[in-house]
Amino acid sequence: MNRKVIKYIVLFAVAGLLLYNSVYFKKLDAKEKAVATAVNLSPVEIAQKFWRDQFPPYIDSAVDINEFLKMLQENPKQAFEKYSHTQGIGNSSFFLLKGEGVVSSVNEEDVVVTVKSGSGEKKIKLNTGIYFGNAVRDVTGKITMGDFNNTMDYNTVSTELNKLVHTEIVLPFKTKAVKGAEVKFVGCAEINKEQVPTDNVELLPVKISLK
Amino acid sequence: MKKMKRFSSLLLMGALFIFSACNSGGEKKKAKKMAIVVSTLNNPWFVFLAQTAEAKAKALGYETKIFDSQNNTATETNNFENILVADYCAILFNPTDADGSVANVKKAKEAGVPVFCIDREINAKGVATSQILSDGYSGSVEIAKYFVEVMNKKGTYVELLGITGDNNTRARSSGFHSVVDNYPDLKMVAQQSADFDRSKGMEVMESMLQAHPDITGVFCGNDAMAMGAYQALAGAGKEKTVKVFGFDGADDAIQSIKENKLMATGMQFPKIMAEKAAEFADEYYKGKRDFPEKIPVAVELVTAKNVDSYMGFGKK
Repeated sequence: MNRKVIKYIVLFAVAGLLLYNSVYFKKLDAKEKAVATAVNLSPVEIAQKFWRDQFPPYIDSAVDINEFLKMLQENPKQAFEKYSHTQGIGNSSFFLLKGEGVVSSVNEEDVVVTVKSGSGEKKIKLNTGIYFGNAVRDVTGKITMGDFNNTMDYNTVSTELNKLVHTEIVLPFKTKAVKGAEVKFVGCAEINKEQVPTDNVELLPVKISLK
Repeated sequence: MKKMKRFSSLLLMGALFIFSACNSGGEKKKAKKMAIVVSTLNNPWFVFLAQTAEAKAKALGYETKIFDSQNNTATETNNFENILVADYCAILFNPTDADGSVANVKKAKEAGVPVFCIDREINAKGVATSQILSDGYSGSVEIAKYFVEVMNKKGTYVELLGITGDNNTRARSSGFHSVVDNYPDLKMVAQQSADFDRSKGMEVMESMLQAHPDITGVFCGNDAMAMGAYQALAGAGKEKTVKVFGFDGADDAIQSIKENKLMATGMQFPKIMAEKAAEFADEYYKGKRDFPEKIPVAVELVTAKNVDSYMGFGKK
């Protein structure tokens, strides 16, 4: 009887082992990613598609700038963990922030907006000069270097996104912005973890509405 | 009958052993030896990169050997061939050529040896196990913004390029021009390769100065060329009027910024990249297989304002 039990255990173990070696599990997300990047688009087309189709939902989920600045002052680590995206290894992180206020000055390379904050107010600088960073590409964390065969394509996507923002958002805003105008904005901020601003941030606007 | 049963049990145990061996995907456990293949040992930056990778691998318990490709893809291929017959468990790889090095990495992959690229990229996905790369484009953007500021948005300048075919050469030059070309009063009057080499940097700068004696700025794709260019400018008595910008964060460049000779450099972090590659290789050896395809490592602008926070090849 005992021998029979041992025999069955051994047979069961062998069958299990055979089954284990016959079936392989792969992560689905890896396949999805491959499919997404297998689409034969140029870096310029990828930037355009991202700007038109994939970026708008993120704009809607931007964080209130007062809430963010409060957390940044009180608990910078938590603010970075909760609201930022970082690409690779480095100190720069990207945030998508929204707010509203009154234009207090229009300058050559920026527009300053006064935003009410509790009982006080804050001056938020909206960049209206030529922007050279990677905030738009990197703020959602959805475009990564690993998506591209070579990093030049990855960099081209950023350059093209900056051009789109400049043409479609910054230039129209720059021509209409006047002191005293009420403005609602959504913008990308790049903040260095080692140089956290105490009470202010500079934003690249990605959505603007003037009253 | 008893013998028969014993024989069956032995047979089953044998089957168990064979299938257990197969479970590791047919991978034979290799020796704890890492090969470090570096594009050149004729440049202190790459010597530091190779030695740091070696030190980290040794600290993790591996035997190591450094192979010098002498900036030559044929030498690099020979290095790979030697490595692949010598039972190394991983290759920490600084490629010579973004396209030309792909075949070598493919051969290693076919032989079951993981390759971790450091600093320089290969133009392929799914071949190297992971690529830990300096974000040279964004670093050059930061240098270019400072260049525009220091040059007061006007003047003529020249550019010394690195090795043609290396993605870092393209990334640094493109990043720089993505900014500077927006300022029409900043005019580039000459652009030439000096192969990332100090002596060639000096030679090229000397010849450029003869053709363009009125330049006020030089952007160099690495610090070795910047040091060579500065030497040529000093020889011509123009070191005070021509502003020199480098890239890498090499020891002598940091010292030169302190002495107000070089204006700026882009600090890469070879220590971070080399150590990360060795750590990844160790994790691979221990069974991990899920690594990011490419990881950018940020480059930081170093000028006279913040140079005291830095030392050669990194932060203090």
